[in-house]
Amino acid sequence: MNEIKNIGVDLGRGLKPKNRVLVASGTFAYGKEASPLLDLKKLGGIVTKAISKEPRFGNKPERIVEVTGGLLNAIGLQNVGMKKFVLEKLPFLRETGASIIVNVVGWKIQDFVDVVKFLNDYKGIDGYEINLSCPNVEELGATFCDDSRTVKKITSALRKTTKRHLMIKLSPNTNRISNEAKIAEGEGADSLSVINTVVAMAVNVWNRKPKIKNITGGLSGPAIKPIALAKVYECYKAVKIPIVGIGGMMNTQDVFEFFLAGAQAVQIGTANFIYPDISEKIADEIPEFAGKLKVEDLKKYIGSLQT
Amino acid sequence: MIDARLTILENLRIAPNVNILRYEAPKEYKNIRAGQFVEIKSWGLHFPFLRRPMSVFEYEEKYFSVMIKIAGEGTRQMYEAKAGDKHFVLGPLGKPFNTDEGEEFSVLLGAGVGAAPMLLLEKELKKKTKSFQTFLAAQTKNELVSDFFTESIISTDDGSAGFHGNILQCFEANRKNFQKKKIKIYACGPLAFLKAAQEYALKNKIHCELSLETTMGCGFGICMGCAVEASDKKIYDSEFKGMYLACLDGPCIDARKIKL
Repeated sequence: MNEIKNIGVDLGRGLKPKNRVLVASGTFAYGKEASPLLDLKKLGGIVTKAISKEPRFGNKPERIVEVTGGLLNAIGLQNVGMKKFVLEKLPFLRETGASIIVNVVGWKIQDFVDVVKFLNDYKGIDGYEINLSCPNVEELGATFCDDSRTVKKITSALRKTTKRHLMIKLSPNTNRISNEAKIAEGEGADSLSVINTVVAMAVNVWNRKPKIKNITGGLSGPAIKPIALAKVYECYKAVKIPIVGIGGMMNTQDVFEFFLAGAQAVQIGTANFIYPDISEKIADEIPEFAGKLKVEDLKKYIGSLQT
Repeated sequence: MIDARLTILENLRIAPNVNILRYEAPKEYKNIRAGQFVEIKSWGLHFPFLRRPMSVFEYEEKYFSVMIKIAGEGTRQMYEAKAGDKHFVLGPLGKPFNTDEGEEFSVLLGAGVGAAPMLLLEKELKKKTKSFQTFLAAQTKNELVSDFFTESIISTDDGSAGFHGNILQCFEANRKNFQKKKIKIYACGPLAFLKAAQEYALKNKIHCELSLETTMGCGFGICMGCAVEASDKKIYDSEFKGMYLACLDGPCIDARKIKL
């Protein structure tokens, strides 16, 4: 069997994961937790839990609820904060052999800038994923995150703040994701990750209460795969910068669906909760699956959806 | 910890809604501790979706078991499992009970399925030659798993066996037998019971360790879904603020540390 070409990918500005499989922010904590259960070296990249300027406790319970084909979460962006992150978490991440992308979250534009500026001084970070879509935090509200003007302002401010790879994570909870995609590209984003979770709800008919404390949460898992595919495709047609697909992938075939729709790379998320080594397995299986599709060059398969 | 597809060796039906599932034991379970749990999945990606966390009940070299009471679709499917079926099992997980805290006498309170970690706990205490008394409770006689224990004091909500009342009332009724000893309570069971046990222990200044009952996402620390609030400083003066994770900081945790 011939070697499959372009297993790895150059996403631009120094972010070159060894393969196209990353793990999604919020689904892998800081890497160490899952390390006994899979070989992190086999992953293309790890996207960290969202890091904010100050540490955050996160939301009170209940934070999660299982739904058909997925999971609703309102964790509330619990994280150790940027200072503790570089002291306690980054050293381990550096040694994993995977590309490290730090997800950054803030409440004002200045927060984002402050975090990125702070992290710029530390080695071992191959890029930043900017969390502009956060359905689970009360203070943020929909208007801030989903506003095209905010995408413009934050991307522009961050482009001036760092020479590192900037991946803008887009929300599906907007009217037209391709609008935000084009704006981010215009302001200098290097790539887009598509999509964050879908605003959703679960209720208990007996006690008449929402099943999670935050009332609404973000839906993830197989239930959102069709939504994510549509959004990836929409963005792929709208911009030239690479799209990193996220949304409900549970196996290698799912991943190829996202390749077909135009994703250069993918992030596996909720699947990690159920099958801790799934991301490693998928990375391993890609060459064989490509062979089954009679694909010799992954680059040529990406975006080759025939319409 | 490992994730493995394990064969069910036996499904012991205790009651129409309570069973014991015995799985082949991987060698990695050799040093399993009382209070640890496993995350089990025997279904597809529809509903149920996530794994289910279950305290480990028995551990012998060739098998370990979990105790199930039907509470929903996941536990119903686990109740109906057959010997020979293979389930995905991730474990052992979590922080076990701390049996090195110097108490003179241990009181084990296993309410309902909370009996699950108590068998291994008895074993550990016996090994350390610590004296103890196990209390088991169930809604009704046929849900009790006291047959697995050598000597337990039982209570039932409906009075069909043992003390007629709940487990704490039963303990209170027997309290005079361990009056002058420095006691530690180990408590496991439904959330309402844990709250009552915590309140009882705090009020009576008895050292108490709870096995937390929370919704769990992954069970091993990557989703942060199983948060439990840290208690107010006036109850327990520790440096820690914010949220504990039941799967990493627990499930076994000092009752003073948390707000239920």
